[in-house]
Amino acid sequence: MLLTIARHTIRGTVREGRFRVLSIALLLLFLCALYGTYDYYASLRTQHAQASEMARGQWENQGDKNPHSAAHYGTYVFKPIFPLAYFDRGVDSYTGNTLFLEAHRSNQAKYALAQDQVATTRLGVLTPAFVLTLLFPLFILTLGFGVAATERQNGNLRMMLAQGLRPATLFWGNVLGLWALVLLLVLPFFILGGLGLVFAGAPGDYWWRYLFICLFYVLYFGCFIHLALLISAWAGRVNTALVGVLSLWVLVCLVMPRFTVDAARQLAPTPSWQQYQMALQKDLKEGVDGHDPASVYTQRLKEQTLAEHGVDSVHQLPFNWDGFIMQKGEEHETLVYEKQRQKLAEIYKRQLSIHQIMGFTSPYLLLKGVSERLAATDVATYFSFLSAAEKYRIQLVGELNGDLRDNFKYGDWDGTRGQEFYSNNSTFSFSPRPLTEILPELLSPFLVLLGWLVVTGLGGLFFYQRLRPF
Amino acid sequence: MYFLQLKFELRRLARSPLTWLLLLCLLVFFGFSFYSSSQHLHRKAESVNAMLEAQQKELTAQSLLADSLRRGTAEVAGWWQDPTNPIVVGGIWRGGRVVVVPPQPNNYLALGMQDLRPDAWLLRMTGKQARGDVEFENPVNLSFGAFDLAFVIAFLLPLLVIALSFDLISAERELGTLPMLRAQPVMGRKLFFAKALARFSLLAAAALLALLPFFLLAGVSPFSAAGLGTVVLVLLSLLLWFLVALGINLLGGNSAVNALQCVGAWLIIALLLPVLANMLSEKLSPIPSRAAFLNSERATDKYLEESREDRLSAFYQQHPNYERKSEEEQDWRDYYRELLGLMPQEDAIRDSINRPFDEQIAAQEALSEKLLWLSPSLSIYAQLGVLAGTDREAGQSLEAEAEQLRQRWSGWFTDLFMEEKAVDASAYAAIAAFPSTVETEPPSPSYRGVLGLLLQCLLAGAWCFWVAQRRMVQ
Repeated sequence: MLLTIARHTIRGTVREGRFRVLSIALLLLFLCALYGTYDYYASLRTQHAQASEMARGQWENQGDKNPHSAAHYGTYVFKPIFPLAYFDRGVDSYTGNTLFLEAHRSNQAKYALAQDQVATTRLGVLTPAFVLTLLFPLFILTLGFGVAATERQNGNLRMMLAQGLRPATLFWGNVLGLWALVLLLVLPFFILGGLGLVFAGAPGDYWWRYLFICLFYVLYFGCFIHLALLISAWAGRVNTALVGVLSLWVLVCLVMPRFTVDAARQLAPTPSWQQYQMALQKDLKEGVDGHDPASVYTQRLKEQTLAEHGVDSVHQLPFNWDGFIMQKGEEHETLVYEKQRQKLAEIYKRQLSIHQIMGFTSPYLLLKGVSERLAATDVATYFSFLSAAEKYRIQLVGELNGDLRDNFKYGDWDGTRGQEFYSNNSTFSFSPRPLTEILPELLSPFLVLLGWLVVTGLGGLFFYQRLRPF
Repeated sequence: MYFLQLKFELRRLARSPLTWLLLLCLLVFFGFSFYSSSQHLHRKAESVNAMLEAQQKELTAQSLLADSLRRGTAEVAGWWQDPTNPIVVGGIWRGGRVVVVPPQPNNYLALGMQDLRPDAWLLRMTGKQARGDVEFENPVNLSFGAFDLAFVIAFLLPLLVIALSFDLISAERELGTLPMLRAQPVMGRKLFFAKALARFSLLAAAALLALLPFFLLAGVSPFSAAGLGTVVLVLLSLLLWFLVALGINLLGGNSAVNALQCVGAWLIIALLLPVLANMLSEKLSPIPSRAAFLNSERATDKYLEESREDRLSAFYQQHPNYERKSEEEQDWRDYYRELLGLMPQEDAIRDSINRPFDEQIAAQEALSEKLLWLSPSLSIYAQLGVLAGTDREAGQSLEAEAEQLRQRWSGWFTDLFMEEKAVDASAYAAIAAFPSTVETEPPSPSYRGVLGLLLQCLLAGAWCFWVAQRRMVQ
């Protein structure tokens, strides 16, 4: 009986003209999005590779310089673009992708793409994730809103119940039918979506990421299947059910996300520029400054170092005091910048947890976060990039200060290093955290999504039980 | 006839709980958009005020120290801490002047690019640095966009219109009252237009009533260009969607089909066409690579470093009053004299690097403006951005104004330094009087968005009329 009802549901839905029109339109849009975003990904990847190569070339060929002058000359690192960015751009357009690394300062990443674009770009960008996260649920809702209501309105329900059909069987049959239809429909989308990975020559890790993205999407679509049936049974009339599913979609996919942004900003406000800088400057003053020999902390360190080596002048130290003090200052500055960065990361974390909590009211919010995280276009990957860049800055400046300390005499600011030395300095590379590290973090959105699936399923069953013939 | 119809429709709508629910939604949407914008703008105002307060404190302390130094009652460790030194006060590696962009009442209409642009610039003798909360804003929040008035008018208002009018005619058919209506001695076409007009009047009146407190609380005059422009946009947007709903109703489907078609039209016109337009402009006129731009800047720096010797020789030939010293003999004055002397030429060379980049961005802007005609959402969003002064162009004029201020600031301190003058009490008084805000003359706004929306309304009206003609004949 269950299979008969499922078959009946599929046949009834497929027979509708809107099914054919919408599925073809959706597929065309998806292809369009895939082409557009893959092109975007490929051009950014090329730009990034060229820019990184050029920046390294400029570093190595900066000319003869004192190592500390080279540390001030600095270098650029660029946030790499990862293969799944063609699928979901995430927050990439809103994060700076260029970071200038120099001595004594931990700079902010600059030049977010969105800052160079016109305001209307913020109305949205067509990506495969946009089609699947925003439009596909609407498609499912328009397929399912009439399933129970039509049966009731055209009198079929009365006949079915008279023949001894239990409402629960009808519900599970409808669920099965819609699930089968949606899975069958979404499969070509997933396969086409994976083509980008083939063209990008992505390593295995990204295929696994993509597989998990697809699994989460299946769960997400399941929620909308159940919601469509729930509303259809609750409303009992086709018109009311339609208004109901559309209102739900607007609320869940359009209104709640923007409302959540306001809630997150209110409950976990980020510091203003002035607050951040004041805290930073206060902490910086409470430590060694490599360029200020008169500072209390520098003086204290000098006394300690002289005492440790049993000498009474920095000239007598077995190393170059300038290089030593520069490195000590660098270590203090690094700690201070890291502390402030951590504070900011904590605020972002609180804001994201508000987004997750709001996921109880909107699965769209949950899925968007998961998809971005798996595509490595989320804010956590951005922070990992910043941390990796900072680590590299410390390493690079450490190499330069170390050379100054060990191989130059005290006060010798005219001594220089050339191309051979700078070519041997460490290089920067960044990869997102492996999937195995990310998976445990996805457990909570997975459970919430599963909760959505179960609750909407039970809700649907409840309203089916209360469904009375017209 | 119209007033009779209006009275009848109003009475009928007043009895429907859906009408009250929709009006409540309208109020909530307008109210929340005001709340959301006010939170954002208050934060911005607090942030820029904190910057100005910190600057004022610093200036007072510096001026007092300068006074004490002149009286000989205080000492500093060296020239780099001397508050009478133009290099220290005018700013090269510290000092300088912060000029802020305070939020304006019009910003309530659309937050646009405001959350992505700087709140202030630090003007220094050698350049300016952008400052702002955007550096610390969570990118996730930025990516979702703001719940502002532009969002309500472009996306949510059309949905309210659809909810109120998707069964404009089909409900009559389904209730069996359509034959009765058509039996009246009035042309059917007129009857349906009057019906739509009555609902339009109701929603327009409600929207205008909701806008009035919005304007009053935000401080926007309803009779200013921004106020009137917003009212026109709201009315045109409502009219457009009523015409779309009426046209779909005239096609003769049942209520469910009409609702689906209306939402389909909304999805295509309001949601998909803008994202397709964005994709098109990204494809046809891509934003140039910032990474490549930075590398060009570095290459320019290298060229400037390599050609420094020639340029220095030219500088000293043009300024025979300055003596060129060897590196060992040079002190900080000689170093900064050379730096500031060569700066105008270096700025000109750097500008030539920026120009092609700016031109490419301008090309994308021009293309995007052409694509505004594609969708009412684009027209509304772009027009409200212009009226609110939060579009890209407004940001560019603010930056240009900040650059002019920087040149004034830099020129003043460079002259003081070159003439070997100190920053005295009168100079400190002049610093205090130097502008601390960047304000541009309100530009005469372009009304391309309004025109676009008007054209879209005409098209929708013509389509509606055509459908009505065909259906009525049938």
